[in-house]
Amino acid sequence: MFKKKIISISSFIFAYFTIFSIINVVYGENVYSDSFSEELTMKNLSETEILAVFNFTQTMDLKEDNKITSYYQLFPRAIGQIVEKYHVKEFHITFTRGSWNSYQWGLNTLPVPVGVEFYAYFDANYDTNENWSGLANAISGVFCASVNYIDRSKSAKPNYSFKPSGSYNEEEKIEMRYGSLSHEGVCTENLTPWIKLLPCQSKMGIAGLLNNYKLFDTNYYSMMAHLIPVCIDSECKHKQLQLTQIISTVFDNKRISKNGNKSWSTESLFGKKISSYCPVSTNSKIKIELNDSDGENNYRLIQSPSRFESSTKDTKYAVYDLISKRYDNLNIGVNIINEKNIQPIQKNIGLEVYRSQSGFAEEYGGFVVTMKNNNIDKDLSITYFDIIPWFVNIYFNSFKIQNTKVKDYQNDQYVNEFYYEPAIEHVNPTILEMKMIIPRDSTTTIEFDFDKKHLLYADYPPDCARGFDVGSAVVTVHNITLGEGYLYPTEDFIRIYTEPIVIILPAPDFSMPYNVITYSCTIIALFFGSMYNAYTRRYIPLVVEKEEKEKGKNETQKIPPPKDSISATEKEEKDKDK
Amino acid sequence: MSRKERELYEKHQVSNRLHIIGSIWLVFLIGIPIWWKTTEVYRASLPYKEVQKWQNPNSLYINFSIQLSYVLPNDIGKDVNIDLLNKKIQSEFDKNNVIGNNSQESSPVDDDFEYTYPPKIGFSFNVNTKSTNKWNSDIGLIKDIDENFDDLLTLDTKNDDEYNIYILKQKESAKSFADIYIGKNKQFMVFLKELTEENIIKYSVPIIINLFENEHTDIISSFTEEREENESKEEIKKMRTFKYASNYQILYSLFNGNVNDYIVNWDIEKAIKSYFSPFFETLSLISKFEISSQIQNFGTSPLSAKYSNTNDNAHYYLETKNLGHFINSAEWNLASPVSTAPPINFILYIPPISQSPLYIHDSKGDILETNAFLIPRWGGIVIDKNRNTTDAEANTNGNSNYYNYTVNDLQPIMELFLDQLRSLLGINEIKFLPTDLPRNVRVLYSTDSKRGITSWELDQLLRKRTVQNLINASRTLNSLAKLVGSLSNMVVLDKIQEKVLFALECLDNAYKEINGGNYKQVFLYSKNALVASEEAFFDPTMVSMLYFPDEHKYAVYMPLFLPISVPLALVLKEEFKKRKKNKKEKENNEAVVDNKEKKEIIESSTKEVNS
Repeated sequence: MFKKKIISISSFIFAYFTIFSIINVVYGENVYSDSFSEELTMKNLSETEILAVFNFTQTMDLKEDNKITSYYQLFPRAIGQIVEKYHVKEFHITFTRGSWNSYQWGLNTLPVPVGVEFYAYFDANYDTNENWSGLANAISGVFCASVNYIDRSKSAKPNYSFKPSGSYNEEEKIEMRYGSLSHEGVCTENLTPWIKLLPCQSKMGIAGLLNNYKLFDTNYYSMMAHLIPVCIDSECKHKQLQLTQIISTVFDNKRISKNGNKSWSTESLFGKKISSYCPVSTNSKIKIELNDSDGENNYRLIQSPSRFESSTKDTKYAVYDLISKRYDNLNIGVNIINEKNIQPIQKNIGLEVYRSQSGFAEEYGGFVVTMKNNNIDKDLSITYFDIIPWFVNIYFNSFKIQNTKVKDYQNDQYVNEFYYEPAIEHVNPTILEMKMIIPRDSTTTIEFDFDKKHLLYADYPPDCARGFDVGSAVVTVHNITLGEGYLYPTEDFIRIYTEPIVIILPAPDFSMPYNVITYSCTIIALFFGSMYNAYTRRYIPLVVEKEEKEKGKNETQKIPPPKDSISATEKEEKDKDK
Repeated sequence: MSRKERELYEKHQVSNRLHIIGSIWLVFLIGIPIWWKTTEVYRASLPYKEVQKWQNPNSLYINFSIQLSYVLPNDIGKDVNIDLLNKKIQSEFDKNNVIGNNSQESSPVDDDFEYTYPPKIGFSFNVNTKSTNKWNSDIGLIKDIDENFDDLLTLDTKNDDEYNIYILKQKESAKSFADIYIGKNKQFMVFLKELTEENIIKYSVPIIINLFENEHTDIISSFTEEREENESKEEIKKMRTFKYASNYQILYSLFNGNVNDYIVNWDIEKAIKSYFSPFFETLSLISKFEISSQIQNFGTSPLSAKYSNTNDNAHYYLETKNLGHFINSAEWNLASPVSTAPPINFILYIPPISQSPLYIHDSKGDILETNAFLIPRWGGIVIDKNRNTTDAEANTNGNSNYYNYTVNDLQPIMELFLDQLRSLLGINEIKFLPTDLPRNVRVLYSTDSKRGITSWELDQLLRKRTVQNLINASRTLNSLAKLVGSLSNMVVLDKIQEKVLFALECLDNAYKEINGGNYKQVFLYSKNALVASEEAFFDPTMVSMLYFPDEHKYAVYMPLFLPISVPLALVLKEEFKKRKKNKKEKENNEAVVDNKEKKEIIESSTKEVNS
């Protein structure tokens, strides 16, 4: 049964690519060696929440020596030149706002952490550290983001968690760097340059639906760019670059629709109608996933589609092929007939991961990572990967790995690999990577304690009272079969990200140094002033000769020195006069 | 206590107090310089004197020595005394050289950092005459005079710093007295009917001097860009030229007005290889070029075209005065994410069908033949006027019309681009005004269709850039010295010092070499000097002083210094006051004593007298 499913999926993919390449011959090949394909997939996640995924894929052939040409056609020159200069083999960058609600929406097929995640593979023949910081700077310029803050002290080199998505031949040596910025706010300023990388920008085609106002008024917004090398021939001697740009958003129809209407369309979601297809594209499709249950129709399509497709038994797609038929200025969407039947459709892999902070106050703290395998019939092989910044000092002896089912969990059978790299201040973060097996229907917890550091004055960011961000931990689940909807369907793993954490560090009063300087200066000055005054004051014994006034008593009296020495001299003069 | 005791006590106290005041002042006098020194920013010492030396116009005098080689074919050479002719020509050059050494006058040396423009440049000519048996004097009658002729008449000399002047026979039928042909390989050919010594001198020397005079004025005038009032044609021409850089990035963009009308592609790689590569290779000595190209769809210009329907020629047009606004720099992806080299842009613009054909009108309202324009220090734009609906229909395929520019299609466009690039890089065509020439002399110019630049032009560019680089390098060093001198809080790192020293060394070397005639070497020195001086000037560490200004320092130390310095000063003042007073008192006392003594003396004397 299971095998059959795989065959059906693979045969579908095969058919898909054959159709794709035929179209390629008909439309594209004569004009450009580059290709461009655009797709929009929409579906209900729940009764009122709609997932829309834009997928734009561009490819460019590399030269015979697998170098990048400097004569660009459709492929964005900005990306190509960066890749060429910093010897990049492959890079992945994601910008995300809001978090994926996996309880209601199921598994995220395009898993991303909150904020920015950025990782890349480099040609190992060059200085990777240098190229990594160069790439981060260049990419932050291209996307108007603060990716350049991912420096060496925030990045790591995972050993087990990440595998390259591109294809490489045996001669190539690659090296990876990973970094994330959970605090990065994603907004239109990132979307505008992102759109500029598309050959038709947002002037025509599916990208014409990208409307800033609507896209950022959503429950979840994730925007990404993935660049990988793809083999053209079987020996992988000749390659092309594939740039996939994806926007994945979850619209809240409850909020958007005016009269509580559950039906949706491109116009109601994006505020725009379809404006034809991008003329240089070889594939331009809008797909609506129909969640029809038990042979019953839950939806009525507003426009009749070009065709229906189905990948599995339950999922059916209405496909609008914009190239073969003109849908210009039309509204594509669905009317929902049977709202009660619409249930969350996505299956989950049955793993829940949380990471939380323990402890209180600003001195000590700890992390507790909980991984719960809900599958009754399946052990999960996972890799836990965490980058913990250097401003917390981790106690290695406090590590505790426990499982609810297995008593002696911390052994080679379950924890296959344990990689720990202690932090060096300002140089590199603590890197923690564990390859382990989580037995069926059990929960594994990882606990460890840390000290919160006192930082140097200049190390504090401008808004340090907000706390310091610790990026999401990455859990890679291995040996999984993916299907449609995933970025690279042939991969056999999926990542799950925890929520990022904010750690409150002890922060000084920032006017303190100046206060200290001024206070101590004042004290020194006061001390000095009085001492100096005491040393330099003239003390004159005041001799009052009382012989004339009082007989028998010859008393000499010392009275405290007068305030100013002038009075003393006056007295002298008086004495003299006497 | 008696008065005496008290005085003694006081005296003791005074000396004690003096010790205290003195020692505390001493501590402060020693402490302040230490504090000053320890809170100082690091400043490597710069060779101000050396920098200043280059501001002196006399030290900046640049003299190019030009090697001229007169070549006579054997059939006339054997009748002429070559040494004598050589002397005659040399003396003629020395006599008439208005741009040579003799024009150097010593101007007063100004110690101030100001540099006076324009720079002083001179040319001196060294003549060498020889004869050859490689060709006869009538070779010009047999062969066509074109580019191949230049290659035919190239002497196989190792010394390519020489300019060759060939004396050849002119066709009898020619109407002019003499024909001059300027070849592409540093050749200057004089065709004469009568091959006499007198004629040789008469039709070569003044013209050659004139040629270099033009170059001289061109170099000089390239330094007067600050003058904006009189925008003559020459001035505008100068404004076009890019500032010198050792690297340029050149971007060829194909802008498609509306991709709905056509899908276009171009064989740009081949076109650049065949039309531009030799040019770039030739210029690689001066600057390196990073070349790339791109295709952009929906390149809508912010400039809206006007419609004209006169003379049965319906077309859209742009007006010359508005062309500066043609570029939509916000939306057209022209910037490079990786390079900071100055970009030179070339754009082939295909107007949308709704606006074609699109022409450019000059100020009189006539259509410009080339349909191309140049934006100074930015690049060149060619508007394609050949694409129109009928063309597109012929190539209909599927849903969209597509058109591919083949290498042949691109040839006229590439020629325009090349022309624009030449003028953007400051390459001057060699041209004589009729007034510059002796009467009835015809001049022919050769072009190098392969390389796009002749050796004459390349040499002129090389010399011009050399002078500019040397002047700019010394100017930059001067600004740097001035800046560092005026901002005492600026950090000057060792690497800045090293760069300045290196730039000065290069300047020195350039001047040492300049008389040798090895322009390429001199140019390399000048380039290194400029690059080093600019790197020093624009180094990011030079800005750090902004974050630690003096005011800050004083504000922080004020609470210490103010309360301490007030009693210090007051006590010192008091002490002085007291001493003054004491002195006066003493004098007074002495005076009183004197008076008393006098009185006593007088009294006693009177007593004596009385008694």
